[in-house]
Amino acid sequence: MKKILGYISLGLWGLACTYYLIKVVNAADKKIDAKEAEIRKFKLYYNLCSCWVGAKQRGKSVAEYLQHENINTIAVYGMGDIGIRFCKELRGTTINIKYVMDQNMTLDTTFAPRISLSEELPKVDAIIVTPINVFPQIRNMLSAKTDCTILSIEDIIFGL
Amino acid sequence: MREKQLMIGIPTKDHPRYIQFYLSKVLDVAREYGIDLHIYDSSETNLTENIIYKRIESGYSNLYYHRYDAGLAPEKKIKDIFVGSGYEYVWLCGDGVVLDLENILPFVIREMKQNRDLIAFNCIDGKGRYTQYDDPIKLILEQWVSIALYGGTIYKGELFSGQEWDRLFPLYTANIPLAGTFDILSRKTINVVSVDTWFCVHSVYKEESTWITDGRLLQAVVDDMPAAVNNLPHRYDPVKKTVAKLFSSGRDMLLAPNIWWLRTTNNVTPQKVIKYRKQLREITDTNYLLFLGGSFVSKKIAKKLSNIFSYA
Repeated sequence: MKKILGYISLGLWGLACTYYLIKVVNAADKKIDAKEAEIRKFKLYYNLCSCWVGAKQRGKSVAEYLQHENINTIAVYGMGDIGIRFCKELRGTTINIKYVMDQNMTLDTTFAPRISLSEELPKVDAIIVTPINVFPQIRNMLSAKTDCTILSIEDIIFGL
Repeated sequence: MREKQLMIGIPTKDHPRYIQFYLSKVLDVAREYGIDLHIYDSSETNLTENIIYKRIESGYSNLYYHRYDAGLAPEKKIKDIFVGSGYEYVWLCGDGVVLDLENILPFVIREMKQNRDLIAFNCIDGKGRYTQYDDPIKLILEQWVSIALYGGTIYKGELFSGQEWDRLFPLYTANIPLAGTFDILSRKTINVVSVDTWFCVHSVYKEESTWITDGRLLQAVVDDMPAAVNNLPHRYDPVKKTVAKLFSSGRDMLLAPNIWWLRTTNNVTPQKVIKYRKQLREITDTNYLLFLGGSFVSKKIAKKLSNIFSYA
């Protein structure tokens, strides 16, 4: 009887350990996936900024590139750090930032009027998207609302 | 640099963002040094072509574009890089590798002046170990894996003649740039240098090679590559057994922790593991039963374990 109870306890303990191990592996897997996505995002931004600095050191200009592409009025989607740098780069040039968009409505709007994503989007030559890690999803979302050209900021910076 | 002294050849297929990034990092430096870039594109869309022609139209006369049929075997594009290029040196680049030209060009220029047959970059620990080779046996034992990776080697432009390529292709097929090179080097006095340094910048646009995503890794590593080694000239007979195993023991290859990653990428399946059981036992030191057991694990579980354990 004692032996049987012993085996049952061992079995239950084994099951509990297995259950806990599966939980740990699942949690570790989710955490690793999240960390890798974050690492990839910052690698993308690092690449972008590295190319941007290199282009500036070679005397290249975002405004000249846009003018060469016949893009004179733009909207900017994503007013985080990269979006702000991009808008500052175009200050004092002939490129007109007609409006900006961002999911976070509390961010700085000194560059242009902010349009909510629920509003109709005024026509511009191009919408420049700065969250490059989710560009495909944002492009699909914006394409459903407008037929303006939608470019990733990578298209511009890598083209300098 | 002299005209037609060095060209960088980039075979590519459906990686327009990578090409965009590559050109932004490399094109101006290449132009400054008089280096030509040739893009060999077999994409299904015109995205890469549009990017290239935009650059050419903006004045980059050192950039050339070659279009190929989407279904073309990659070796056909690579033949055009190696055979009859007209350049003194050719730098075969991988589809995903972005060269750190600014940092390594002074070294490359110096070594080209030494009339090297090969200039190889070997990224073990980046501590700058510099090795000169005049013995093909020593070279194959120490540099077989590094020369196998596209992007890390600069070849003498006249290394392969058209005739030589056509003669060697049936022997080595997809491994002709690697095995063919060693075949040729076995028949001449060699002048090769290797340096252990980082030659490329990290590219987040580097995607998994198609031979991995197509599930052909086992075939390539335990079947095709050992077959290529076996076909090498008799001069390499004493070391063929060792060389055949070198690639499989690489960090991203057939080590036990990587079995989960191989399972998720469909490179380890029960059918493949049973089909290549003899080769797996011969070529890799990893216990065959681990491959067999791992091949029956569900891909969902393998993905979780791969995240935690795999090197690749």
